[in-house]
Amino acid sequence: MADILVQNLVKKFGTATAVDNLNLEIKKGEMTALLGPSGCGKTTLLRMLAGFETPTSGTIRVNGQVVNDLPPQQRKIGIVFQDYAIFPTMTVFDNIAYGLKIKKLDKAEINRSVMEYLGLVGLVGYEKRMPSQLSGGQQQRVALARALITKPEVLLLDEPLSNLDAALRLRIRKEIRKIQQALGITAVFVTHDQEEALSIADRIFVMRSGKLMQAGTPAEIYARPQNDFVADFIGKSNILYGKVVDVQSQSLRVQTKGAEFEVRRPAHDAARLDAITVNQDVWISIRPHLIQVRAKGAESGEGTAAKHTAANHGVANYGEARLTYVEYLGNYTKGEIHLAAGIDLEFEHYHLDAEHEETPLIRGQDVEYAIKPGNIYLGLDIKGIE
Amino acid sequence: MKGMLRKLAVLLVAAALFAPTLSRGILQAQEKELVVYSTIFAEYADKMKAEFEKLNPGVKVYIINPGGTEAMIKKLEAEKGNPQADIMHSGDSSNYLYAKKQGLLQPYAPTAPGFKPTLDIGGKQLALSDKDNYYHVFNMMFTGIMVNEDLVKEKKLPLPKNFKDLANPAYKGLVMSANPLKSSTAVTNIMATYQMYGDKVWDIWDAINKNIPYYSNSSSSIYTLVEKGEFAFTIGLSRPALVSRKNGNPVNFIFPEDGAMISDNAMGIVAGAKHPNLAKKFIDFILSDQMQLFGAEYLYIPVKKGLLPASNPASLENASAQIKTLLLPDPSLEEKARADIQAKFGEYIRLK
Amino acid sequence: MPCPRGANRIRGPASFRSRSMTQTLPRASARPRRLTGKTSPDVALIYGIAIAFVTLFLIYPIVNLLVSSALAVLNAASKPLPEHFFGYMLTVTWNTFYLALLTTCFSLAIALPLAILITKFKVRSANIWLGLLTVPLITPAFISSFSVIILLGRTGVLTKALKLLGIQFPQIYGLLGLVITQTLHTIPYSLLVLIAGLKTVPRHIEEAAQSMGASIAKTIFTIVIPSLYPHILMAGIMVFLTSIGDIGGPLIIGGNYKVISMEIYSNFISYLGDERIPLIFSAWLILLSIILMIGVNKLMQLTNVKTKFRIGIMEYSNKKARLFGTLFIAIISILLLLPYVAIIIQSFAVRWNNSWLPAAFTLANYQKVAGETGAMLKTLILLGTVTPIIVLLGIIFGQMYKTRPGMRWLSYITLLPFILPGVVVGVSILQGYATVKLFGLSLSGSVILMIAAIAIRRLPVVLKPIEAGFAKIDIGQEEAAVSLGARELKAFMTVIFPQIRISVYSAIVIGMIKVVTELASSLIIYPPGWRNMSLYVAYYVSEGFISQASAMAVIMIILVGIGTVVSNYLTSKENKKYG
Repeated sequence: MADILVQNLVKKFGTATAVDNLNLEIKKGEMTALLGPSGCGKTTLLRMLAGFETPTSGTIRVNGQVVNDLPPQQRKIGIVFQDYAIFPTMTVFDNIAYGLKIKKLDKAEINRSVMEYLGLVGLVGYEKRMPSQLSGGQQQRVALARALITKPEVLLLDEPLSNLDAALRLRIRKEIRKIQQALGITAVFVTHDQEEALSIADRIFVMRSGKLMQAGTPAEIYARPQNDFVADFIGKSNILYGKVVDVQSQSLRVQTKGAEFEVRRPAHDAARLDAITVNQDVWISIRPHLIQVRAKGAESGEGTAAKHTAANHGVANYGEARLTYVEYLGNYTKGEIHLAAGIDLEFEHYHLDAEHEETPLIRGQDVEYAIKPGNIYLGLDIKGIE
Repeated sequence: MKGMLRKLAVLLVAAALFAPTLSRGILQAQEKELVVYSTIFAEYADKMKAEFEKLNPGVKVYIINPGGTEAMIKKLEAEKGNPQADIMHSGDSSNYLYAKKQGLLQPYAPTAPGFKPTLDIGGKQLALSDKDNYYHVFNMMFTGIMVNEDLVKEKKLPLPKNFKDLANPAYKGLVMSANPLKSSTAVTNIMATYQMYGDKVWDIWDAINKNIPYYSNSSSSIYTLVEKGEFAFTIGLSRPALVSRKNGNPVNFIFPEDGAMISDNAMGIVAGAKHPNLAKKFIDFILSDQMQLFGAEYLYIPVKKGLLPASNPASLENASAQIKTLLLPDPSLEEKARADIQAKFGEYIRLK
Repeated sequence: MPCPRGANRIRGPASFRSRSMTQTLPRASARPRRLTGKTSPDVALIYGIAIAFVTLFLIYPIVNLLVSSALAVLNAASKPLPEHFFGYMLTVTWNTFYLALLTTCFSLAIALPLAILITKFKVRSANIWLGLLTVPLITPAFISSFSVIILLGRTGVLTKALKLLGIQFPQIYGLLGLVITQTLHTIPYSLLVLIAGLKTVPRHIEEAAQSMGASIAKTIFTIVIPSLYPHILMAGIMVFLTSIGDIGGPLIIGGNYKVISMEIYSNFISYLGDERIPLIFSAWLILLSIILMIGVNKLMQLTNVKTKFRIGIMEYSNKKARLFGTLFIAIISILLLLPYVAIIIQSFAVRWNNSWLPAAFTLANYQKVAGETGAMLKTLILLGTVTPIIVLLGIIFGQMYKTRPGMRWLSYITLLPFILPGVVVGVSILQGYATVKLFGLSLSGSVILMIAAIAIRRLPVVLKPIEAGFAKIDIGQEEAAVSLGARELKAFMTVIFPQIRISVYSAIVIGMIKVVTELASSLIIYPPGWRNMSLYVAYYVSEGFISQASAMAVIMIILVGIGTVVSNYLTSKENKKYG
């Protein structure tokens, strides 16, 4: 298995820079996701790891050895493509056996190995089928078996699930993860689907325009986005920009356009907001599921928003709003509220108390909302949301 | 609206296609046109047409090349019930004998000044007109061997004197001939050898055949090939060889000492022709001094004596001076010879 | 976190949708749909006219021919066929197939590596060479065979050059000359087909192979070339058929090597030949062609690329291969183009015998040819009548096959003339209408049959691009228009036609080139006085006026070349307009 170190990597195509001074480390045995919007350079990076593109400058080291100019044939990689790339004129068996035939293993050995990997991907009995007789999901599994059978040091996957329909995507995603964990193989996969990345990756590199936006575990990326782009890209969120107007030991006040919000300074995150000063430009992220919304004047059940207190009077965390859009989805209600301050927020309100059944909200209704100060995340690094 | 446009379009197309035939129909009635089927080459045909139209203002001449003497006869036979042509022109007289037998021609005695129905050549009498005046010879050339002098010199080959010299093994791969199954001029040449040697001719041909790598399906490209030097010799006719020589090619024509046969071009009026009067005029026109001399420019030997000086290669006088043994076509041998030729050469070609 | 309905708001904009490859065909064409409801009378009339044309000028003549030859064979007792006839027929058939096989092998053997080098190894200026290589495609047949004599005949320029190197080039008349001429003539076509095929091989499968350790060479041999098999087969069959139908080669340079097309042609023309021979040979060829046709039809479908590959092709940056490729294509192009250079030189020659260059040059040939306005006019008239006919028929049949799957069996019939040698088409039509009179005029004397023959021969050629254009359309649009009240004809004109316009333009260009250069059936069928430009070339070559024929050929090449460039330019402008 391989440790991959990328240092100061740059790739230009003509005048366009696809990868801009990238530094990252892919750890042995981990499933790493390269996540970002289209054009962010993730596929280019993957292709440089594979050897199909050569870096303009910088280095890629695999297990300490520089591999920049090493042709793909000499790297020990397996690759799975978005369009499966199964060899159309060969049977499933021959497809999977291809790499072993190149290594000139003997027939019995090849046979044994192919059957083993067919079992691994759940396609025993399909050996003699031709690719045209396979569904998308089956083709992708053949591609996977084919890539793994040569026991590569790194498994590379270029948006392997994008071509599959939704239900299949979830299933195959799980299978890929299970196989990767069972084999303990270093894997790098490219995706633009943040849910996919969060669900199966050990580590995620969020990229945009060739640059690394943040590196971390799914939890880190989700709960502690380093900049507004990551906060917006991962999960759903309401991002607002403003200035700090008050700094207290436990909390801050942030003035956004039209509204002032109170933001807690949680103990475990204190260091990050240590040096914050008044008038500093910041962004805040409010996750929709952390906004509670109920009909105006409704009885509040347990666990609903705190009431107005003298201490939090005057902040926009609590208040009244107009419901401008709503969908009732059974276990939760989602929609958009329009604050008096002129801000629109997306919310997801979960019905966690079945005993106190809430009347479904109607569009146009006047509502009350509550956002606990501890549920607002504040960040300092502004990169801009695209 | 669309339907009407369509109909209009169809009408226009139909009109375009039929207009020529319709206009011809109109012209026909007034004997303002003459239709000639001729296998003579385009330049000559153009000149022929231009001159006749000049002499007969208001008349349009259509010269149509059916693509070969054989095709011409086929066409006339097909059109027998409703003749489209007035004149059958060019091709040797044996074809005209055949056409006469098939009832495709009508008689006319020419009134061109200076034309005599029989010609004195080297002591022999050559009939220029059919005894019933169904057809007339208007020019001639001779059978023999065209040679590329440069190639012969390069390969240090002896020049053949007699036809049978072509059997010389030194000439292997260097002798060309047209396919007698497709070309009447090739047949004429072979007929000459038949008249020279009778049944023994097949032994000679067996040997000559070995020197011929293939028989050309095009009777005119054989001269081009010798001209180019692809072959040293071809069995052919004097005129194209001498024209080529006149054009500056390193070629010459050999009149074989064992026999050179006359190959003539004849013409006749088509039976039932729609413009008989113009047709008669045409016959006389071709036999006129003017046209005879014109033919001589293309090295066709005229059928009248005294038109050209003896030094002129196209003159009758010059040819008969060079020819040691003159052969006149013997129609009585026609049928048997043809059958033999078909069989023998069919075999030669099949076995190549 | 409770799972919300539907997928999360997916980040990543519309590019995701555009990048996806369709993994299944759009359902609209998965099952052939037909326009429901009865066929309206004006549509039925249009279909009827098209079918009548094909019946009159293809089905009837072919059937008539088959019957006549069957009778000739059956009556062999009363009127015996020439001795050893069937043995002769077998020999000639074997010759024909052997020649075709050799030509196909050589043509593909040169075209395949060349195509790979050009497409995948970034060979320099490939476009220029490819452009030049289309010249053989538009050169009249006879002259291109003769030009091989100019180069490789006994006194040929190359023969002399080789002699200087001590190599004695063998005699060219016969199989050798035929293979050389035909291979030269078919390489450009094979090249184009294979290059088109290579452009459909997505780079990912090559990258996958290489990720498993396959070298570039191994990838190409085990992955790329096998993926190409429909195109290779297609090119192979087309070259094979071209060889069988070739008449220029055998006539000029064939020597003794007897092939079917030549036997048909020469026997038909000469009255000394047995009339039944062309009939029987033609019938024989028809039977063979029908068998081949089924294969060709299947292949044509396989080579119609259905999925749009947004993934590009694999290109390699191997310097050595690039150099080799550039040299290879340069050499092959020069060799292929030498005959045409010879034609150009010959067109300015007074005479050119046994020397490196003509002894004297002149413009007289061009002057003479420029004066042959008759020939040019005939070509124009034919162009103007045949092209609209075949394009209209092409559209009618294209629409018919698309909207009425039940009529698709007709596509075999409309494909047949593509496969039949031109001589056979000519013979069958002439034979079928030899005695027919229209308005008192014999049909065989009028140009109608010639127009019909050329039209029938070239119909499949324009039908192909038009069908491809129709394939991209969803029939639902015509149905929608019909549901809105439009009659089928109007729906077609306003909704469908604008979309297939590009294909129609492409068909017109191809059709025009093919009409101008048609020779084989014209040779058989042209009425006196209808010598068009390509017949002119043929006639003058066979009469020995090589220089003039060359001049006419050069003019033809230039005109057709200009026509192609202009049309391509106009078509690409239209393309940009409609996206």
